[in-house]
Parts: sequence; C-alpha cells; structure tokens
Amino acid sequence: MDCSLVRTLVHRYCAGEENCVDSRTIYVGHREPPPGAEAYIPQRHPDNRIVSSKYTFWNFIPKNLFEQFRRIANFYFLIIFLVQLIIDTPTSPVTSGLPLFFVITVTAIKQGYEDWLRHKADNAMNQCPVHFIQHGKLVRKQSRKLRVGDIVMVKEDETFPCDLIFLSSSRGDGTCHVTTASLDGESSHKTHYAVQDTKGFHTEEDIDGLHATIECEQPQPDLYKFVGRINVYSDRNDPVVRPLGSENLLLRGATLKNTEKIFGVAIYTGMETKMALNYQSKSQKRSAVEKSMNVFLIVYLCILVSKALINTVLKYVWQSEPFRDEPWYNHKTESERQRNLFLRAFTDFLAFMVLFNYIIPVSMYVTVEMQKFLGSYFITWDEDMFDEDTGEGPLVNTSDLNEELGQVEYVFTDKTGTLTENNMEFKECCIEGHVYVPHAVCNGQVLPDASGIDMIDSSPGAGAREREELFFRALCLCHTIQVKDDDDVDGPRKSPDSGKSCVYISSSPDEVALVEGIQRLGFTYLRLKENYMEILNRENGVERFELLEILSFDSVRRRMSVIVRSATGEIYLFCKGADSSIFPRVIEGKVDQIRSRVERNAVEGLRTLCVAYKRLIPEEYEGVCTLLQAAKVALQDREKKLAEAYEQIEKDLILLGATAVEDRNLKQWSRILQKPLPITGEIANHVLSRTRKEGLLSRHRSVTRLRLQEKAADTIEALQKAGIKVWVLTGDKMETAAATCYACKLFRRNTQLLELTTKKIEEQSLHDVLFELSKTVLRHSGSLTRDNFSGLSADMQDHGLIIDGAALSLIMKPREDGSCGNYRELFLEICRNCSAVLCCRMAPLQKAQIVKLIKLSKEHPITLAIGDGANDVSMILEAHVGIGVIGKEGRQAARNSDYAIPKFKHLKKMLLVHGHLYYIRISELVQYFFYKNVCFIFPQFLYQFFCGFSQQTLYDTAYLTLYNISFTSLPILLYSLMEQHVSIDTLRRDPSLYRDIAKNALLRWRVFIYWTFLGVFDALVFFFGAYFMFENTTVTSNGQIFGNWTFGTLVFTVMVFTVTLKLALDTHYWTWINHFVIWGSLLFYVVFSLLWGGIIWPFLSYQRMYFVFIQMLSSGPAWLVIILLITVSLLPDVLKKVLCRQLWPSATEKVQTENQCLSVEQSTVFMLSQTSSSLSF
Amino acid sequence: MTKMKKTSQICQSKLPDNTALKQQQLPAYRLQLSATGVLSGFFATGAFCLGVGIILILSAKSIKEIEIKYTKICANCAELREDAINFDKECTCSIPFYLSETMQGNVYLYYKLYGFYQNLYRYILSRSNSQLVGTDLKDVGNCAPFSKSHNGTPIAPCGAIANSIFNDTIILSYNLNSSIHMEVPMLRSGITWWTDKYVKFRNPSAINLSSAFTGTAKPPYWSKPVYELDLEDTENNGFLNDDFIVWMRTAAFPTFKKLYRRLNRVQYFIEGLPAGNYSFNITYNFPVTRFKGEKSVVLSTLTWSGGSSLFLGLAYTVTGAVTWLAAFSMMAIHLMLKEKRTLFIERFETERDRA
Repeated sequence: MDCSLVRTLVHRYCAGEENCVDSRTIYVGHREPPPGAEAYIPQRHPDNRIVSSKYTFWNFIPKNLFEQFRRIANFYFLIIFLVQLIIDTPTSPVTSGLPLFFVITVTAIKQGYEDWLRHKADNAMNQCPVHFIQHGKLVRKQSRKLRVGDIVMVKEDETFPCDLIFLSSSRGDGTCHVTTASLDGESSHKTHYAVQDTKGFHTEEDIDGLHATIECEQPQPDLYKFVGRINVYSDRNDPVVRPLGSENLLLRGATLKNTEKIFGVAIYTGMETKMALNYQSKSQKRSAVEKSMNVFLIVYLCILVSKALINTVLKYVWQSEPFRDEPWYNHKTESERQRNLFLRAFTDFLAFMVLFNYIIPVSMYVTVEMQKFLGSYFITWDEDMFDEDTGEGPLVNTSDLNEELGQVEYVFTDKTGTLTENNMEFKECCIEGHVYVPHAVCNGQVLPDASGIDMIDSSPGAGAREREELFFRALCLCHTIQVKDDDDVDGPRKSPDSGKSCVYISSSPDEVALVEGIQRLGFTYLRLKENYMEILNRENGVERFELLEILSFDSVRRRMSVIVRSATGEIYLFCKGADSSIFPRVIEGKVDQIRSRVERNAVEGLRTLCVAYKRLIPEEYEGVCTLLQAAKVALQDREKKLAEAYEQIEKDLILLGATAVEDRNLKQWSRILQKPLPITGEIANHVLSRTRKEGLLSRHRSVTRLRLQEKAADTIEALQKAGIKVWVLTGDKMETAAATCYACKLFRRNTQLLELTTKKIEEQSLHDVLFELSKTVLRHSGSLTRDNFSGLSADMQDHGLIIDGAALSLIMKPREDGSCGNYRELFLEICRNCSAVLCCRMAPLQKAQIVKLIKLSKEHPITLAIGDGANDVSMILEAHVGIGVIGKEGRQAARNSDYAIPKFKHLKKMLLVHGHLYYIRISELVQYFFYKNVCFIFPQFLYQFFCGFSQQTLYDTAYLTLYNISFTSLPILLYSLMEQHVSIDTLRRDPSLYRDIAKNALLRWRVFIYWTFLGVFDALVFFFGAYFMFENTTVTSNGQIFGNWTFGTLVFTVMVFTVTLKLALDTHYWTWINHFVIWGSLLFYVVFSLLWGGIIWPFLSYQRMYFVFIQMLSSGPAWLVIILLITVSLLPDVLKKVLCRQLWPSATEKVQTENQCLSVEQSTVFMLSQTSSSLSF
Repeated sequence: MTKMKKTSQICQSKLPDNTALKQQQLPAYRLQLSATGVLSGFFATGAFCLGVGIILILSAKSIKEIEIKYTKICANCAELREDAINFDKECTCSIPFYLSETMQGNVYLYYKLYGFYQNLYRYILSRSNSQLVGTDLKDVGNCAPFSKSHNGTPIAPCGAIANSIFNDTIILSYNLNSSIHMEVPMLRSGITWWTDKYVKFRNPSAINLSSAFTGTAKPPYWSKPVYELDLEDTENNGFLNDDFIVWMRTAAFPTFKKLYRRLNRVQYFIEGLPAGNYSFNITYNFPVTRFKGEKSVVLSTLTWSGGSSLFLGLAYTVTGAVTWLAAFSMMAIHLMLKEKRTLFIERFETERDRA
C-alpha cells in the first residue's frame, strides 16, 4: 500500500505539476495540435517498462533482510541473537543464530527465486518487439521504449503492449475481439470498437496523418472503467469531439483475437497501465487461530520475562551473602568486580532471557507456515471437489486461512449462480396478458418434436398481433449480446439460415436465455454489423435496425434501453428491466394483468423482466442525442451525469409485456407447495393463492420448477446442522428469493418467517417493527433455554428473517440524534436468533455492508461469503473467508476470493471436512508446540535454583539447538498434515461434529492452560525425578559418578521420548508416514546422541558431551529412571483423556467410539458369517 | 469432434491424481483410546511398575552404606582452614567408627561435599580442554581468573575447577584389636570413566613429566605441581591422575559425592569389609566452612541397581499403585456407564416392541 503511494508520489514529482490535475492530454503520434486549438504542453510519462520485481541485484540482501525482520517474531529472535553475541551468556549464539539463519536463508532463497522469475518475466515482456508507426513507416522497437502518444500496431494473437485507444482495425466495421484471460481469467471473446472517426485509417500512412488529441482521466486500477474524449482535427473543420469509454480501450495483457491487425495509440504505459495498477496485493486476512496464537505468544513472552525477572532478583538475594557471591573456589575476574551493580543486574536479566528464550521457538513459525502451505494442497488435490463438467478444480489463493474454514459461523451466499445454477432458460412471456410458452428445451437445444408456441390463454386478436411482434423485436434488439461463430473472421460468410448455430455471448445469462427463447418463438437475432442489428423474422426475412444508442444496464437503475431506427425510418426506444423499475415509468399498457403475472412467476422462483417501448419522433431523438453526448464526453462525474440523462430519457413508456426466465429446477418444490406453510404476511398469501391456482399451469409444465445447483439444498441443510447460520443475499425480488430459499431448504416448513421489508415499515414505524420482531424472537428463545438444548431438532420451530435492501439501509443509517447503534443492536439481536436470513433487493455494496455489520458485532463471529459474480466481490473481500464460485459470470469473484470452488455443493466438503481437519490439526500444532517448549525450558528454569542462579545451562548446546529443529519437529509437522481424528466420511455424514470445534474451541484459555500445566507437570517430573535419582543414588553399578552433563542428557532423553510419545498418543490416524516419522525421529535422537558423544569433535573447544550418552545408557538405573519418568509423565494425560471421554464425551468422541464399536461389530458379524470356520469364541 | 477431445484431455490433465496420499486416504490404523484398551494398558503398566518397584526395594535393602560427616568432628582442623594464611600448616584428624555388619562384595569409598557449587556457570567454563588433552599447555583462554600466575606463566592445569581440587587424604584403617591397626588396601584405579582416562585426558608428550610441564605454574591453591600428585605411582601423575580426572567431571548439584577409592579385595578383605572397628585418618586440607558447607566420607556397597537409595524402588511402587487405583476407578466408572447404557437400550427396545 504505502509502496504504491510512494510510487505515485514519485511519478507525480517526475512528471511535473501539470500532471497532478485529474486528466491528461495525449497528442496522438506526438503531433502538436493546430495552433489556436489548445496550448501544447509536453507531458512526461513513465516509459513502458514493467517492474513487477521487488528487488534488484544490489539491494536484494539489505531490502530482503529488512522486510524479513519487520516480522515481530524474526525481530525478537534477532534481538536475542545479538544479545547473545554482545554479552557473556551461557548459551552459545549458535543455538539461536543457526535456526534463525536457517529460517531467514530459506525465506530469502524462496523470495529471491520468485523475484528472479519476476525479473525474467519482466525482461521478456519489456524486450519483446512492438511495431510502431514512425513517419508513416512501421518500425520495430523494444516494448520498454514505447511512450505515451506512440501509435502501435498489434497483430492477431499478440498481446497489447500497453493500454491503447483503439483507432482502427483491419475489420471493416472497426471492431476487434480480445480475450482478457490473463487479466481477469475470462476467456470469452469481447468486442471492442474503434473510434468512429478514425476507423477508416487502414494503412500506416493514413494513421500517420491522423491529427488528434486525447483527454482522459489519470490512470486508475478499475479494469472496467474508463472515461476520456478524443479531439480529431481535420484541415477544414472544427475538431470533432468523441467520447471514449472502456469499449475503446484495449488493455495491456489482453490478447487480440480474430482480427488481423489493429492500430492504437498508447495512453497509459508501464507501471501506469491498468494491469500494473492491479498488481497491488490485497489486504491480508488473518485467521482466528493466528490471532490466538499471537495472544499465546504474548502470554509466553510475559512468562519469559517474569521468569528472567524472578531469577535475576533471586540471584541477587542469594548472592547477598559474600561466601555465595564469591566463594573461594570461584573467583571473579577483575572486570567483573568493577562492573556497576545495575549494569550487572541488567546483563544478568538479559542472560536469563537468552537462556529461556527457547520457550518461544523459531521453528513454530516455520512449521505453521509449512503446514499451511503444504496442507492447502489437499484442497486442490481433492477429487471430490473437482467438477468434471467444467474441468475445474478448487483453487487456493491464500493458504493462510485454511483453519478458518473450520470456524465459520455465518455463511453469506449469493443466490444466482451460487445457489441456483446460473443456467437460465426462457420459460414464458406474457404479452398484454397473453401467455406464450415455448416448448420444452434442454440447455438451449430444441427438442425435435417441439417447435410451435403453446398459448395458454385464448389466441390474441389480430390487433394484438402487431404488439406481439413489436415485443419480440424489442427482446431481439434490447440487449448487449455478441454473436460468436467460430470460423467467422470478417462478416457474412455464412448464409443467414445458419444463424441458429451461432453462439450468443453475454455477461448476463438472462439475456442469452431471452434471445434464445425468442429464437424459438420465431425471431432470431443474427448479428450487429456496421452498427446495424440484423434480425430474422418469422417469415425468414432479414430486418435491419440501425443501432443509435445503448443505455447500458446498471444495478441501480435495474434496466437497460436501446434506441434503434427501423428500416422505415421510425425511431424506437426499447427498455427492459426489473418490474419495480419499469412500472413507475409506464404510462400505457395492460399494467395490472402483467403485474399479476409477474408476481405469480416471481413466487415460482422465476426471474422476471418487463419490456416497454416508446416511439421517438426525430426532434425528440435530437434532444436525446445532445443530452447523451453531453453526459458522455464529460470527464468528471460521467456516471452520475449519464444516470441523470438516462432517467430523463427512459420515461413515458408503453408497457409491452413481461418475460420469465427459469433459474434451474428442483423436484422438492412442488412438494413444498402442496403443503400448507406456516409463513406469515405477504408471501404466504402469494404462495397459498398460487397453490390454489396450480391446476391451470401444471398441465403444461413439468412438476419441477426451480432448478437449484446440484445438492444445494443438501449443502445448506448440512451447514445449518453444523450450526452455521446461512444468509442469502440477493438482488432478486422478495418472492423469487423466498421461493428459492424454500427450495434449497434454507427455510423449512416449520420455519416461522419474520418480515422486515419496506412495505411493513411503511405501515408501522421501523422502531415498532423491530421491537415487535425482537419480542417474538426472544419469547421463543426464552422457552428454548428452558426446554432441551438439543440443537435443531426436527420439531423445533425456528425463525427465518426476510429483509430487503431499503429496510436494511434504514437500519444502518445513523439517526439524527446520532444514536445509530440502537437499531443496529436490536437488529443483530433478532438476527442472532434466526437460523436463516434472507436479504433481498440488495445492492452489491450493501452485501459487503451487512457482512461487515455481522463481522463487527460483539461476538465477532467468523464470516464466510460465497458468490460467483462481480457484484459479490465486495462481500468476498469483506468477509473473513471469501469463496468464489468459478461460475459463468466470469472469474472476477474467483480471482478476488481466498478459495475458489467449482460448485456451491463443494462448500460442504470444504467446511465440514477440510476446514474441520485443518482446524484440529493446527490447533494441536500450536498447543503442542507451546507444550513441548514448556517441557524443554521449565527444567532449565528449575535448574537455576540448584546452580546458584548462575545461568548454567542444563542441556548441551547441540541439544538446545536441535531440539526444535530436528528431534521433535517432523512428527508434529506430519501430524498436522495427516491427522484425521474422525474419518472423512464420518465428518461428511455428520455435520453436527462441526459444532464441537465452533468458537475456537480447541484454543480456548481452558485448553491452553491445561496444555501449559501439562507441560509444567511433565517438566517437574523430568527434573525432580532425575534430581532425586542423582541426589541419593550412585547411578552406576560400578561406583563411578555422573556429572552435570549426564544429568542434563538424562532429562533431555526423557523429555524427547515423552514429548514424542505424547504426540503418538494424540495421533488417531497412523499411516506408515506417521510411524516412520515418530519412530524415526526417536531413532534419530538416539543415533545422533551416540555420534555426538562418540567422537572427539575437533572443531569444538570443549568435549563435555564425550561419551556422556553412552555412559548413561550403560547404567541400569538410568534405564529404569527413563522408563519410570516417561510413564509417570504420560499417565495423567491418558487418564484425563479416558475419563473425559467416559464421563463427558463430546459428539466427536462419541462418534469415534461408535465407529470403533461398529468396526468391532462388523468384524464379529463377518466372523460369524463364516460359519464353516471352526473359530471358537 | 476434435474440440470435444481437446476439452476432455484438458479435463484429464487438470483432474487431480487419485493417489491415496493426495486424497488423504492412506491406509491407516485408527488409534482410539478405548476403555478396554486403556484399562488393560493401565493394569499392565501398574503390574510392571509394582513388580520392578518391589524388586528394586528388595535389592536396595541388601546394600550397606555408612556416611560420616567429619567437618564437625574435625572442628579444629576446620577452624584452621577458615583462614587461607594457614594453608601450609598440616592438620590431621582421626575418626573411629564401628562397623556392625560385614560389608559384602565390592566396597566403594566416596567423599561427599555439601554446599559446594560445582555447577556455577563460570566455574564449569573455567577449564582448558586443549591443555587437558596435552596438545597445547599454553592455551589458557577460558580459564580466567586462574589462567596465569602472578609472573605471567600459564597455569597448568588452569581454571577454577582444577584449582579447587578436593585435596583431603582419606585413609581407612582397620583396627583388628586395640594394638593392631592395619591400613585397608584401596585401589586408586578404575574410579574414572575409561574414556576420560584414556582419551579425554592426556599428558603432554615429553621424556618425563616434570620437563613436560616446564614453563607452567601450578595452580595457586595447590601445594604440589601437577606432575607430583602421586608419589607412589608415576603413571598416576599429571593430567592422568585419577583423583584429578574425577574432580574435573563437574557435579550436577551442590551436594554431591565423588568416588575416591575402591576396596582392594585381598587378605582380610576378600569378602569385603569385615565387621569391626575402623577409623578414617584424614589429612584435612579442603576448606568447607568458608562457604558453610560440610564434608563427609561414605562407604558403600553396590548392586546392579546402583546405590542404596530407596527412591527408585519407592517411585516405581507408588506409580504402580496409583496406576492400579486409577485403573480400578476407571473400571468402576466404565461398568456404571455401561449398565446405564444397557438399561437405556433395553428400555428403548421394550418401548419399541410395545409400539
């Protein structure tokens, strides 16, 4: 973040002051504008060099080290290391320097390698040849030498070298196709349009003669937004001003397709291209586990400091008697005697810190990182989450949040494309009250026997015939679909009859469904050619309409319009949009009939759109044109001005009819409908009346209605059983959304629905509604606590809340007196007691708002947002975990998410299996790491009481260094990758197990304290067991005596075995890898110790470990002590586990026991079934 | 057609491998701490611990040990040593004692120090390994403050450990009767680790020891130079002196004992130490009252399980007992719960039958 800020500042500084303004002026081909038009201000822009690398050869080491030591943990270890270097400490600097060096080096190598790759890619990109136009000739230059204002030629299948304004193309109509696969992952072809006035320039000479300036906004990262205008100067006339939008902009990184070559002028280069601006990393999300880990770290840091303090104080108390301070056998050196008391105390304190610093191990960070990184591969490898239809598997964009998947409390899901398959199907249309149903179709393919129109109501009269055709034409024209035919490069090579085979591409699947549906009703949209839309009418005649304007769709207006001129010269405006945005602007038409039809369809879960038109007389059109032009060329607030213009234009419409598009079906729907539903208010009426009228329609349609994504209902049910609250956020109508919610079992038959909608708020005040609802909810929850607390039993009544966007914004809006929290709290209270919430009519930003509201509520629940469209990106970024569905609406959501999955159903395995396992694994990892280091360091602390607080270490340097690096590191790492405390199948079958780990259950204080005390207990056992042994006994049978290093080695041996065996007892899933690693590291310890003590190591100045380990093992009593101490330290934990399991078993433990019984039973049954065998029981 | 093929190929390449590892389906043994398993484990552990404990206690019973603290007994010597000025005044002290039972087998003679911190950080550090292996006598790097004598010659052996060597002489004599006092034959060999004596400690190579140590000074607290530690056995001098090597292995705790001599089982003492009157004749050199410590001599026999302490045996016995206790209470709980469960199931089944 701050880097980019600095960068922009530097750029601004370099570019001079004139660049600080909001727009920039570009002189095409570096030609000065004709005198008098405008002052020529030469501007400086960065060259086209892309620098994605972080380091250069020279600054790599300092910069990388700086970056690494910015991490608190690394910094802490560095400080410890420096202290060890500076002052005389008991442990050698190697013990903490080596691990730190290892960690830093590995990270640096990894980052250096990544940066080297980036350098290579940058160089390749910066040096690739680009064709320029210079003085009418084509010149090849390296890409990095490109400057703003240069005219560039790009050939087919080349990528654009910088952001270009599209001047002309080899295609006659001035269009070109591009794919933006490397930018946003969308591989579909998109059409871009050349500037009207320059599309005729086809040769280098022509282009060179172009005299124009471009004004556009300063670079900004939004890929889909661009405003600018071009002034084209010709010799005679005034300059022509044209608006430029994102359809004229060719982005760096996109690839030219199906077009021989294009010319463009560079406007943003190098680091100012939209692609480069999008490099900026997203904000880092941190998991709850990481947060509690940090808290534990602070606790341990406090323990460390207090240990050091206690020892320092005790040391000086103990030394207050001179015979202890300086006994005759241990004189001080001169320098020691002269040192100031406080300085001495301070160095002592530091020395104790160093001595105990291993309690916070370096290796924990490495292990956690490795666990997360390697662990995330299990998600991508998972076959069950691979979707064979699309050939897509899950993607892991960050591995930091693996365990957060096991902690989700709220799921916010988008409806369309996520819950329902984004597979639209035209269902019916209603023209002035007459309903038309095309015959059953399957994925866009007309079944052979179905070709006609099935009209349900009586045939329309002859007068309505005209209206009907107008309606079909409206649908054929009012869209932004592109036609893609594979072989087609340049225009009409195919006969018009083959139009049916062409493929429609659009960002909105509704549009495709509509145009395909209309095709089945007789009108086929052929193509857009040279600004003429061609449609094939029922008589197979081609009609051509000149496309004058497109008033494009946006989610605020919820409608779009086109203005076309027919062959006869009449000008029409066709408008299509949501009923709520069309009806208020209609002045004519059979509104009531259509409205009732629309509502009926909405209840069935169909997506409805209304179509209206108006005829414009040429004068009116002139007015419209100027209005639009003014808005379009505005550089500031263009959006706002455009919206105002649209508002003025789209009014006084004549309603034509409505369409219904189906969002994929589900069988249960009809079953739900035929039973009375205990729902209140508006929806109930709709649904019930709908049920009564069922007879008419059921003849014509199959019983299935809503088509949900496969297993969506199953998934939602599982999530709810797992104690996760599911919220559906959608922009749809309330009725449609509610129907979907019933279909996907978000609301069940016994769910009591609460409504918080605009309609209700209009009747009562928001205050009253909220209080009433909270009363209903709380009364119920009160009785709930008195009854059993068995979770979601089948008979229990639960609540579902429906809220719409308007009501939500009322709640969110701070009141005049400033007490905004009041309603919010009340609303949250209601939500907390509802098992399911449906938010409809939501704007994209509102989705993020509501996620934020829940996220910041006082329990700080973990939220997950899942969606597939661009409108879900904001909520995906906002939630703790963002999941993108790799869907049809492009890849924006997947790109911005933390994890991407092909289908909604995969969420179940993602959370219930992977999330659960990751959480179990990492929480054990964290706790175990602290435990084993308490075991490690606490004896050291105790030893200070026996060595006059002189900072004598208990263990040898090698042991101090290797304990965390090699003796005990691999078993826990492999455990944290492989452990399955319950089998994957069980986890999937029994979602309620997820509740066992909710609310960070395994990292609560209670558990943490238990582990810490277990560590302390074990440490006491090791230390005092060995102490009494040494104090009272001759440990050998030949009378020889052991020294302090043998004592340390004995404690260390017991510790390594205990700590490893403790993990072995915790491991439920013993694969050969676990066996290998656990027994292997014990063996490694023994072999290492034998070697370490078996040789006089020439590089060591001391040989204190020489034969210590071997001597220890040659003594019988030492063996006995080792066995005894291991047993004693493991027994309490086993006992505690067994007792807890017997007396207060958790659901997980019950399942574990059951499974065991089951397997025993099964084997018994198996054995019994083999009656012939002569087994005796 | 070709397109179809292509896409299917892409699918295949993208489809994750179906290996057991990647699908987390490796064949594995599921370890569950079931009641029966744990119970039997507990009973077995308990039985083992009890067994070992009893054996240990029994074997420890057979061990004889005598410890005599002689700081107070030799109070006049102790007082003399309070002041460092009297270092060259000899002081001996005789401590008679009566051995009521024969000490069978090998008998070991230890000295034991109380309150002597051999494990102080600076103390442990204060030695020179390269000097002790005989490679470089002049290397006194870590030995401060006992690295060089006043005139600057390096001390050999340097350092605080060597300097503070235990220098009392303890002679055990057997009083067969009031007139015949016989010195009990003791072995000085075999009291060190073999590796210490033959690998870790080496004398500098020279024709004779005294010339090898020329150019070095004796440690300040020593009365004799290092090559004259044992006047009877020339092999037992220099860094290879057994007492020196024993002392150089620093003890883990402030109270420690070190092996001093082994009984040479000859003549009267073939069986061990016969019962009777003995006395320790001690040349008292080592000052302990200055750090409020104490000294004692220990005579002990050993078995396979080491010395006479009951600690190990008791610890095993207690562990075994506690384990059994835990196992029994666990069994009780288990049976209780099982009864409840079967009752519940029976009730459930009867109700179901009724229905």
